[in-house]
Order: sequence, then structure tokens, then C-alpha cells
Amino acid sequence: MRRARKLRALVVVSCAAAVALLGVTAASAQAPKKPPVKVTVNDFYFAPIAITVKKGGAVKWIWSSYNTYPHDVHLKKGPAALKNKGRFSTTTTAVTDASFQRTFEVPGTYKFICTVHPSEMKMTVTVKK
Amino acid sequence: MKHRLAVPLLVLGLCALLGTLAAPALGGKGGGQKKQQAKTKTFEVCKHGCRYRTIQKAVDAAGSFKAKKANRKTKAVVAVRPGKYVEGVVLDGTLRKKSFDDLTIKGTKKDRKKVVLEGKNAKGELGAAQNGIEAISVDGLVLENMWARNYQSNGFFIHAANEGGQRCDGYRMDNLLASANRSYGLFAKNCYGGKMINSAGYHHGDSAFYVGETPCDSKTWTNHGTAPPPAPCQRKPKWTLLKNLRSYENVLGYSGTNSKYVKIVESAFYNNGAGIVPNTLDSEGFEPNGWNVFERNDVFWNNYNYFLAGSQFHTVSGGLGQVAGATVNYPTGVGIVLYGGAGNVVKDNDVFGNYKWGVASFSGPGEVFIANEGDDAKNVNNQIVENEMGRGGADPNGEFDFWNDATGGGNCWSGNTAGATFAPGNGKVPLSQIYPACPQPEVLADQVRSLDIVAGLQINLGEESDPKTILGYATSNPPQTQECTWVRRLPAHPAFQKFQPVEIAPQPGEVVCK
Repeated sequence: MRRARKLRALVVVSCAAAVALLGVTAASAQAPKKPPVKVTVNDFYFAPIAITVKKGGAVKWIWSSYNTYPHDVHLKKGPAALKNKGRFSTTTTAVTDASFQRTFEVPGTYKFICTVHPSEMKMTVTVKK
Repeated sequence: MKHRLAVPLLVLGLCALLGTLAAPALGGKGGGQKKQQAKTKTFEVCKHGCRYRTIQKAVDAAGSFKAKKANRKTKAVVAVRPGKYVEGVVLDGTLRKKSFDDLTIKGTKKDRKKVVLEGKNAKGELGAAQNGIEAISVDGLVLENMWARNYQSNGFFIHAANEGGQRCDGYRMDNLLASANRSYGLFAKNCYGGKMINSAGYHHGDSAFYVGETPCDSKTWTNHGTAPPPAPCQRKPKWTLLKNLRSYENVLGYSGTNSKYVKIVESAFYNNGAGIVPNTLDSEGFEPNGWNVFERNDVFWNNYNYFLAGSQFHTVSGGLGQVAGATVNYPTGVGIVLYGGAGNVVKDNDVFGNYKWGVASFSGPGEVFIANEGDDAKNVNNQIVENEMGRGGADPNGEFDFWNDATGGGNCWSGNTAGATFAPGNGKVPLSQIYPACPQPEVLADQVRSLDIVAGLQINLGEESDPKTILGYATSNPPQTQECTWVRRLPAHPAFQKFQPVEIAPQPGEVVCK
């Protein structure tokens, strides 16, 4: 009885170790994730104003430390298939020391503006399949 | 016997009844029916023992409460008990399931220092918290009895985007204190009317008080054109009142980019780089600034050279732009600056002890030097009247009481202190032409020029760094050398009320005057 219990425990531990090892191997086999494409949010302009990322790619907006005025990032228009569009807009403005990152899973064209300076600050993110 | 008594008693009773019924109708002003008290729902915030421990949570709850149809007539108040709140509060009026209109957020004590919104180490959606309180597209917001300090952007910020149906109208900021926020203290942008009253601000990288981008009836409004003449920005103006303010030790005491219908009264602007500065810039919509009133203010000792290393704050602006390859900064040592304004009234202010100029007015030359694209920043139709300059000689302004660049037109000066001094320029244009008496016929912006090369006040061609001109002075390089042409007419300012002058001493070699 005691031996049987020990054997069962050994099997369980071995299986767990095997699963863990497989997991590690699988993880190391995955391609490293690409870092996000960076966009700076400057006084009255985004830079760059047009970027292209692959599906699953990320974009990170970084507010310039030289800014004087508040800006936000607001998705004005996105692909029809995109759900939860609000996720792609900030809910607050920032002047500096701020960043905002989003991953793009739905291919298409995304038009962004700063709602505080909508006529000057526009940019496009194109997401390819 | 019984009957004999019963009749008079009946008459008396009837009289009493009639009297009671008639009283409200006869009672006049105070005797009307009591107004039905509006219901109020309070959301209390404190560190221990309240339902809400952060202002944001209470504000969110109030927003959800007000969004329900049944609660629309109930007033929502977020009551904040004394304490330090390390957070940045956001009221997003564009959210469908929340309504922040007519919300009040107030400290429960009259002492505004008891409720502190602290920006140091405060986190927000994008990293560091940007504002103590930011309200987006909210009408009728009331903020009272609080202190916001050390934020990355502003202390109290209310604004609306110029699209998407956003608007903000009728805010009231009362008994607030703002300090050491990177840009502004109390900041309203693209709002119709409002109040900033009984408040103070210091150590800001721009101004303690700011009203900007006042919206017009039409989004495409312009004051260009002569036939037909341009319509007013707002046909029935909604005024913004700034009253009983104290603004000290900031880059600017008040700044108003493209602000309109702003009335600043009975306030003190002192020890700033410059005191009251309405201005016209491309950075915001609805250019130019104008139709503002600045009346019965004390504007004094604005000689804080924030370009020096010893300054407790520094300008967040890298200058106003480039002209002829040089960086233009705001002039320091000036009480009131009208930059590219139209139809402003500067009346009955006490302006003294400012080392450069008391009241300066000038255009942004948009034709050749492109200081302002579209040539919107024109100095037109301003009235500078009945101001007391230099405390009757007790504390004079430095170089001149009045300085005007001789651009634009329709401006006038009248009834100011006898003996006040006027900058003459190079003498080619008579003083009476640079500073004509009131009234003057109004001009249309497109009938006059934003550039003048004759009077020697705006630009001295061939000697662009001449500090007697606004171009030369504002482009002083390095900028702290603006003070090289300040004029201290007395060894020290005489006492004024309880105020103390604050100036920064340059370190050795920091200010080298040519």
C-alpha cells in the first residue's frame, strides 16, 4: 500500500516535470515579440504621422518632455470589424511624462487625432494581415 | 351667553383663516411661497470611515448616479474631508453611462489647504497623473475649497474639444489654490463662460490662471474680411469672470490665448515674470484674443526673472516661436501685456514697480516675419484708460509706463495718471500718433498692418537685437539678459499692503550685459 502510494506520487511529479519542461521548450521556440512602434506626441504634431504594423503589432505613444500643451490620443475612425473602439482612445490628456500603448489585432486603417488640437494633430496607423 | 360669545369667536376665526390664506399673496418679496428645495445626494470622501477613499471613486459614483433618469433633478455633491489625496481625478463627460453636469466637488472646510490633491507620486491612465482634476465636456461644474499641487500638467483643468458635440459651460472655480504644477494652475479651455474667484496660484511654468480658446458661434469664425465686416465671435457673449485672485511667482500671472469675453477684476498680480497677458497664438483656435476687460486690479513688481538658475520654477514654453531666426520669449518686467489683441479694455488698474514697462501692447508681425500664421495677432481697438501708474510716483514703473509698437490701429490712451511716461521710439512718429487719445474710430483688422518699421518700437531693421524694440527685447540671448535693460528707479519698493517683493539674484556670470 505504502509502495503503491509512493509510485503514484513519483508518476505525478514526473508528469508535472515533463509538462513544465514542454512548456518551457514551447515558449522558447516562439518568435520574440516585436517591440511596439513608437510615436511621439509633440506640441501640435504626432511623429511619425503614418505607420504600418502587422496584425498583432503594437504602437506606443510617448509624450515629449518638451511639450507645453495638453494632448490626447483619440481614435476618430477604425476598421468596421473593430470592437470596443473606445479602448484605442485615452480618457485623459497629458502634457509630458506619459505613454499609451495598444495592440492592433484587426487589420485596416486607424485614424487618430488629438481632440484638443484636432485640426493640427492627425495620424494614421495601417494594420496589415 | 354661549351664542353671544360664539358669533364674535366665529368672526375672529374667519378673519384668522382669511389672514393666513392672504399672507403669501400680500407678503411681497420675502413672503412668497418657499422655493422647493432641490434634493442633494452627497458622496463623502475621506481616508477612513467614508464610503469613498478616493475622490475619483466618489466622482465616478456621482457620475453614474446622475446618469440615471430618475436622479436628474437631484444635485450631486462630492464632499471631500480634510486629507492628502495622491491621485489625478478625471471627469469624462463624453462617457455614455456617466453624467458630470452640474456636479460639485468641494472640500468640506473653508480652509482650502485642508484638502490637498497631491501630484507627486500620483498615477494616472498614462503614467504620472497629469492634473489634479480634469473635466472634459462638462457643464456647470463647481470646484471649491481645494489645493492642487505638483502635477505634471495643471492643477484644475476644464476643457472641451472643438468637435464631437463637446462643450463646457458655466463652471465655477471658487476658493482654490494651485501651486508648482508644471503648466497652469486654474485652466479653462474652449468653454463658454465661467468663474474663477477667490483663488490663488504660484510657481507655475506658465500661468496661475488661464482662459483660452473661447469658442465662437461659428466654428469657422474669423475677424478677417472687410465687406461685409466680420461678425462678432459670440452675438450674445457669455462672460467669464475672474475676481479676487492672487497670482504671484509664476511665468505669467494670467494668460489667455485667444480668450474673449473675460473680465478680470479686483485681483492682484505681482512678482511674476509678467502680470496679465492676453495673447493671440496659432496654438489654439478662434484667433485672436479680444473683447476682454481688465479693471481695478493691482499689477505690480512683476520682475521675476525665471530664466535664472535660482528660480523656483522655469518656463515650460520653449519660447513663443522664431522670428528672423531668433527665439521669442515673453517679455519680463512688464505689468500688463496685450499681445495681438482686439478691443480689450484696460481700465482703472494700479500698475507700479514693474522694471520694464507698465502696460505694453503690440502685434505679432504676421506678414513678413510669420510670427503668427494668417496674420491674426493684430493690436487693434484696445482702450487703456484711467489707470494709476507708479503709485503717484511712489513706486514708478521702470523704463516706461506705456509702450506701444505703433502697429494696428484704433487703440487709444486717456485719463491715465498725469505725468505717465510713454515710449517714444526713434522719434520719427509723433507720440500723439502712437498713443492717440480716446475715443478712436474702430478699425477692421484687415484695414491695418501688424508690421511697423518706421517708429522704431517693433523692429529696428539692421539692428534686430535692439532691446528698445519688442523684437530685440523678447529675443534677448541668453533670455535672462532681458533684465539688462530694466530700470530700477528706487533702491527698494515702498511697502504695499502685506505684500513682499520677490526677485531672483543672478549667480556670478549668469547675466552679462553688453
